[in-house]
Amino acid sequence: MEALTKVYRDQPKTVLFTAAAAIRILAALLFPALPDLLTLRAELSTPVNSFKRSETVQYRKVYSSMSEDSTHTMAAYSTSHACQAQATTAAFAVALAGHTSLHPVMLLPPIGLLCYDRVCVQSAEKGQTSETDGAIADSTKTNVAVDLRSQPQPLQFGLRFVATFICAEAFLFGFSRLILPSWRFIPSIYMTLLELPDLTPNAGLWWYFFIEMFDAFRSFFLGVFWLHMLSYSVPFCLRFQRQPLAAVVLMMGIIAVFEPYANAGDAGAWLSCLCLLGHLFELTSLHRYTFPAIATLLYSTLLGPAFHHLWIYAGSGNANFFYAITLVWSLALLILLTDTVYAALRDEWEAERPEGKGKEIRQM
Amino acid sequence: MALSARLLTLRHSPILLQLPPYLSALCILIGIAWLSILPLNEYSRQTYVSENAILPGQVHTYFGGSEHNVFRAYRQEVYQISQWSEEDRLAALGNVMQEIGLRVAAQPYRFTVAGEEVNGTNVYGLLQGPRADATEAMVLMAAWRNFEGKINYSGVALALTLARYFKRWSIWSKDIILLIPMDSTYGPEAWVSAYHSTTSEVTTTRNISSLPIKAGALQAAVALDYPVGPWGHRFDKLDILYDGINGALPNLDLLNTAVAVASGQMGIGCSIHGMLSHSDSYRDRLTTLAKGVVTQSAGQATGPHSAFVPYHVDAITLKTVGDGWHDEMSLGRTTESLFRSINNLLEHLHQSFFFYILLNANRFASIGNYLPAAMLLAGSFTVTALALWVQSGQVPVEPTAKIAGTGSEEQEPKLEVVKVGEDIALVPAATTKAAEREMLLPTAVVLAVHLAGFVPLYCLNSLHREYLPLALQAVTATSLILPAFTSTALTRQFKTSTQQIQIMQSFSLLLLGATLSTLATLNFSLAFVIGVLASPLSFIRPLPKATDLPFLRSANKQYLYNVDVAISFVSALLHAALSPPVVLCALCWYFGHDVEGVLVEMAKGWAAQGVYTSFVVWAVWWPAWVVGGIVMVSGAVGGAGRQ
Amino acid sequence: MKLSQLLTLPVALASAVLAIPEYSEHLHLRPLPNGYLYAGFNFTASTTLSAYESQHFRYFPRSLGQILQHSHTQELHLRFALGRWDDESWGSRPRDGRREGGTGVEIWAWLDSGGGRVAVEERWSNLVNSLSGLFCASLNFIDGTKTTRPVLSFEPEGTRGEGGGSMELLHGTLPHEVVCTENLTPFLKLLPCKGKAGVSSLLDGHKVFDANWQTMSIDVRPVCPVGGEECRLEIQQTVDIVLDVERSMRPRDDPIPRPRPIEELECDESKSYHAPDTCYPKRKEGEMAWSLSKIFGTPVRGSCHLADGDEGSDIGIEVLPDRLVNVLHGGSNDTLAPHKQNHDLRLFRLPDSARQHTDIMVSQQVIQQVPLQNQPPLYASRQITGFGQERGGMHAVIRNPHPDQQRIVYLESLPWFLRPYMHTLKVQSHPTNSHDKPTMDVKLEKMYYTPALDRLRGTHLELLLTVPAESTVELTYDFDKAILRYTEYPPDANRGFDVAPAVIRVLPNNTAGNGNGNAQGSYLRTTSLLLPLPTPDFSMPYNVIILTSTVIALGFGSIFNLLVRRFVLAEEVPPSPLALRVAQVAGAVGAIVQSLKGRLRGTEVGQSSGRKAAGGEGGMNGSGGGAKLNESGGKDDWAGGATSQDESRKHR
Repeated sequence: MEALTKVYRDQPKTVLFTAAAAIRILAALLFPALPDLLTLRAELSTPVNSFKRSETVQYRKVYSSMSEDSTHTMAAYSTSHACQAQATTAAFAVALAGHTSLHPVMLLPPIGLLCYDRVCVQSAEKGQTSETDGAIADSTKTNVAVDLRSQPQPLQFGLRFVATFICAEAFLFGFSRLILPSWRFIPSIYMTLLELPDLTPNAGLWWYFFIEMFDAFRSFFLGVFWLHMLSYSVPFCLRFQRQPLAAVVLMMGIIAVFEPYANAGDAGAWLSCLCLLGHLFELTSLHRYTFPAIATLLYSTLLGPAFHHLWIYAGSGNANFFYAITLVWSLALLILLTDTVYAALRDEWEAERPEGKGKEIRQM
Repeated sequence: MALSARLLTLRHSPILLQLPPYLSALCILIGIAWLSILPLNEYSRQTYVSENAILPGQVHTYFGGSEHNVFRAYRQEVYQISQWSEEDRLAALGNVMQEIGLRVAAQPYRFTVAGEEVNGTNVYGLLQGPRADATEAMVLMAAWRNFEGKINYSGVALALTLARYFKRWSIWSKDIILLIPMDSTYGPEAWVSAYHSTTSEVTTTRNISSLPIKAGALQAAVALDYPVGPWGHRFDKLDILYDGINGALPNLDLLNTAVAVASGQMGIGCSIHGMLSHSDSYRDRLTTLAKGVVTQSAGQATGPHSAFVPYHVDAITLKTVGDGWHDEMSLGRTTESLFRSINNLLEHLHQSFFFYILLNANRFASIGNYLPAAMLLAGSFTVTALALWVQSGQVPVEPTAKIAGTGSEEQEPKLEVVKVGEDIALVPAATTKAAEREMLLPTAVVLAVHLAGFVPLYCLNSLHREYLPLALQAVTATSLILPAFTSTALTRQFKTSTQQIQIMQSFSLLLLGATLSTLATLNFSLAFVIGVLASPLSFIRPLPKATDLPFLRSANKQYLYNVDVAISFVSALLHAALSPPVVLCALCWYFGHDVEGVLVEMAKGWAAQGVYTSFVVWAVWWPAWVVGGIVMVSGAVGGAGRQ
Repeated sequence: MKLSQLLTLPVALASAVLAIPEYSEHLHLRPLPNGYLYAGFNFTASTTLSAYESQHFRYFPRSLGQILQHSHTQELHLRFALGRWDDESWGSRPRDGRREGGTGVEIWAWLDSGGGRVAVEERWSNLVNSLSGLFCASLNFIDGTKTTRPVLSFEPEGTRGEGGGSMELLHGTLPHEVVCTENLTPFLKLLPCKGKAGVSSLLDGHKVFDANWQTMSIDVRPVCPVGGEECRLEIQQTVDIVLDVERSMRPRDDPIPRPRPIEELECDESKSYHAPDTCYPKRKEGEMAWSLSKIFGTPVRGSCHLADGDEGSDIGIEVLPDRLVNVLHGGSNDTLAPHKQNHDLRLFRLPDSARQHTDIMVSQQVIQQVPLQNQPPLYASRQITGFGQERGGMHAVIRNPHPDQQRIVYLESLPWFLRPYMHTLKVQSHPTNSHDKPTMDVKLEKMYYTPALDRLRGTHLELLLTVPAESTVELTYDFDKAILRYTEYPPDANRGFDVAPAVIRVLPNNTAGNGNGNAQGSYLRTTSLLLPLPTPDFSMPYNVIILTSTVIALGFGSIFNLLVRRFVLAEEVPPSPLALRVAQVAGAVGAIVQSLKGRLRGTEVGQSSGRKAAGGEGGMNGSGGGAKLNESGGKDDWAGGATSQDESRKHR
């Protein structure tokens, strides 16, 4: 027991990853049919991440097969690097994620912000250490005593970050062009994402909407939906300047709820990312409706497959059954998202007004 | 105190915390009462055919005259054949079909159920609709042995005669498949599953060979059940069997068509669930409803048609019952008219209801009217789960620290205890402080118990039939001691606190509620029955120590001890009476089946036809019951973390 | 002598004999087992290319000719088909299946490929549109999604002299099209005798479309005789039908197959239980009696000998030599002698007189010698497996009954909303009769696969493979069923969508039994399939748009509501004037009530009640309540006032 704890304390990452890998392999060994099973679930697999489709010979499919699987890792990867203030790597990771499936590009501003924040802190610490010889620079102290001159210019940093991103994107396109016969992969990937030609039922809000949409308004509403998704990125950055990590996580949540080919995987990834904001849990559960929301999620995870079965296989229920459940699912996720926003804001507010802790507050 | 604080504590206010037990009790009562009002005219509807293409009973039927002679001959032939060995019989049936002019094929199959092998062969013939393009087909089925195991002489003969008669018509827009399985469960199952699969992979339980001849998409299947030999017998009514595997139902239009044709066109009365005499009274309707709920919740096959329904092929069985003046020809004409109607279909049956409860051959309650019953039952668990969750969020502070709590407030919870009696609502003291929840242990326990549920599931479905009763006894014994044992272990070893117990119960009830409400959409009756049987679980609380009981403050030790024992004994008895195995045996006794037979049927359904009733019992209801037991006992043994 | 070879006779004539008659017609009759009759009509007309170019048509239908010229069509093959050929009992297909099509309408043509892809597609749409006008068929629905470009399956039939530019083959199908008399009438209009005289006078919609299997074909191809004289453009129209003799001999005024009168029933007396009321129907034996006039409702009216040099026969009957056939001619009973006869084929030539009727009568006869049944090259069937509307599998079974292997081309053209997974394509073979032998993979010699593009192009799959001798090849792959926009569904959405039959071409093989030397090989087609797709609720568009928008608006609203506003302690929020006013009013009312109470009861009660009231009202509005009480409540309830005061203070 002690040994284990010791090991864990020594290199937690290693242990964590080993455990995860072990579980994955164990699952694969125990249930050989598992991958097929998962690829066949409507809630899990969508046209752009379906592994089965990826095996077909068209490049669009081959190409975007990696997308969903890699996107999450890439997003997480870039976040972690942003936290270590490594702008280049972060930008590159975002580029990679965005290259395979468009919407992660919306993570660029928050991650850039995160990077910038960390860079400032680091430079501040440097400054600290240079001035006060070897005093431990904990963030609060640095925040107090930092001369702005030693900090990098936000504008030029932003430019550099964006430039890095663009270069990475360009490089990736060049690279894909190398492995693929022609440039046709560009429209075939991004049109699939933008125009939603494939309306296979999934856990998202788009499919049934665009099945029932009148042809005349289809393109208009596609535009509206995409703009709506885009409209969150910058406001989050502005509002959460002081806690960029929250901005990143919230943006991931927005993507998980509103993306065109939504699936349970994204939602799961986001829910696990919420742990990065663990300090907000108490606030949410204290002031908001977290437990009901999670209970709703539980219900819809059970009811979703049931209604999908009734519609598709038993033929006894119609499309509205499953559609209703996807609505509930998205609604529950939205409630969680809103609660997190509230908690993050309130956390910030309480930091500056400690007397407000646990009191009833209003918004003006 | 401040307004904000008041608002904050609103969600933890004692009123809200005392409400849930009554709320869930209310849910349960309403849920059960709900079914009893369905038979009223206000809550049920007259059936009607909503697919316009069907036109039931609009065609003139010509089956009769010399066909009767042919039928008698075929019945004699079938009777003769029945004396022969199986191979000869199959060959002979094949010959007759060939002479009629069908493309004949056979399909051998083997199932291994409860340690026994079941072998058989389906004989079937394809009547190609003269001008059909082979995209659609309908099935005319007559199992060699009907569901009760009697040889289906007249049914098979009639099917053959009809096939010969149909062959002469050029109106068929769909192919007609004449299927003669050797029995009423395995045969159709093997045939329909092979019809929808490319390759037949051999498993331990089933070995089905693929079909040499196939037609298009199956639109509907009608099975004839008329087990009368050459001596003949006139029947009174047609009993229409419609329950599919796992309570899936065929489209109501098919049923309506059959009823309309039989009673409207041919003047043959139709009955449901063998209710031969059905004076459309409330009582009879309720009985029919109850029978329907029972059969549906069992989820087992009720006839040769049952295997088709899960494949989205609407199917019914026409079973002749009673003594009357209708003869095989009127049944034949009914079938002819029914097939003409199905033949009219332009689309797969989709217009009418798939979820319904029949109260009479021509009266039904639709899903909107009956679903709330099951949902309320499931909701009752969820309510309790929420309440427990909230309670678990706060631990009571020491009574000495109660400043705000006035005398009257002090009394209230104690009165509660007396009122509710067996199950005691844990009413927290007026002031509590929020506490961090320790959820690891409860989660682990709940998970473990659910996993443990697979042990009885496996045993009762894979053992040889003669060991099944033994296995059941073993399961009963273990499940009776399991809660006490686990709970003792938990309280003694892990020092579980009241809060953990509450969280445990909350999780288990939440899971139960969610599962049942999901199940209600798939198989309403099963969800309802399980919900009723499990409903007491949401009132189980840790047993009180006699010392905690207010009115025993003054009593002496010995007396207290006796009270303790008495309480534990009574509650343990009640709890045991509600355990799944005990209830199972009780049901068997009530319906007069022998336990072994029922167990074999369940194993059969599970292995051969994928009936998930036993899964629901052992992996949903049983774990919830065990957790309930753990919670209850936890109070008695060492009184856990009760301050 | 093989049926197939016989039926290619006119073709052989046309291409071999030097002097091609400008028009010739032929009817081939052949009884099939189980009381069926095959009737194959063949009408061949031709014109010289020069006459064609100069739009000088004699027997060649002008309407069609102009369409072909306008759309630069080199060679045209058009098929209308209904029902199934039951090759289990009827044997090999007529004309080696080269003149039949899949259920519905099938068309393939070689067009001038000059001008590039766009021009070709333009011509193709011209062709199908004008043909749909000509034949009252919905051929105009053959658009890009229903058109494929097969590589191996078809080869030009025509012999083309030099000068012909490059050609491109396009192939389209309409499996859902229901062929009917409205297609037959224009078909007959193309004939020089317009179906009024000659064998074509037998073609009547009622009978043709009551057949168990019928296919109409039109084939236009250039033919260049070997003798170096100028090429001709030949049109060949065929109608092949299989009639149920018993059914088609029913009187037209009473077509209902009522049960026969008991005395007409032939019973099998050998059965032990035979009794007057119990009759086991006897198995039919021998050949049925039939006659043209009974089956087709009319005898052959006159003849249609137009072209000079047409010495061919009009009618051929393929029956056993010792079967009695008498051909009545004219109103009188003088019989017509066979024009030619070899061992089981008798050829008759109609007399040239225009208005005399000819009828053929065959009597009921029991013949021991069974007619030789020639096996088809292959048996093929195709099914959709799996259930549910999400995914399924294709399962084609091809059985080779012959003792030698055969190379085949398997062509499938699938609609775009059926999404095949080619990596799951499995082609396996196992010996037909012995199942114990393991299945082995069949090597695909060639595979042409054009993946579908959503709403633009269907899937085109073409496989070249070899079917081993006396073994069965199973071809399977998985596919997904796409869900469409609700405007893309037909009115009968829940019926499903038709998938065109697979075309199997058996490549000519010197060793193969069926091989008769020509380059075409023989064809067979599977039945078409029904593909059920998931359907949305068609009555929902507005509700869905509203509900989804509501959810999105909820999220958007609540999030931005949080983002744009700032937090303030509730205590700092100035109470809204309205709330104050309401509170005052409430306080006033409460106070009045109290004062009334106070008046009614004695002061004692008054005090306590006053106190309580004050405490109560403190909740709503301290000042108001307190003030009023001081006046009303009598002497010493200042305490109540006080309590209310400080409670109210708390609440500000």
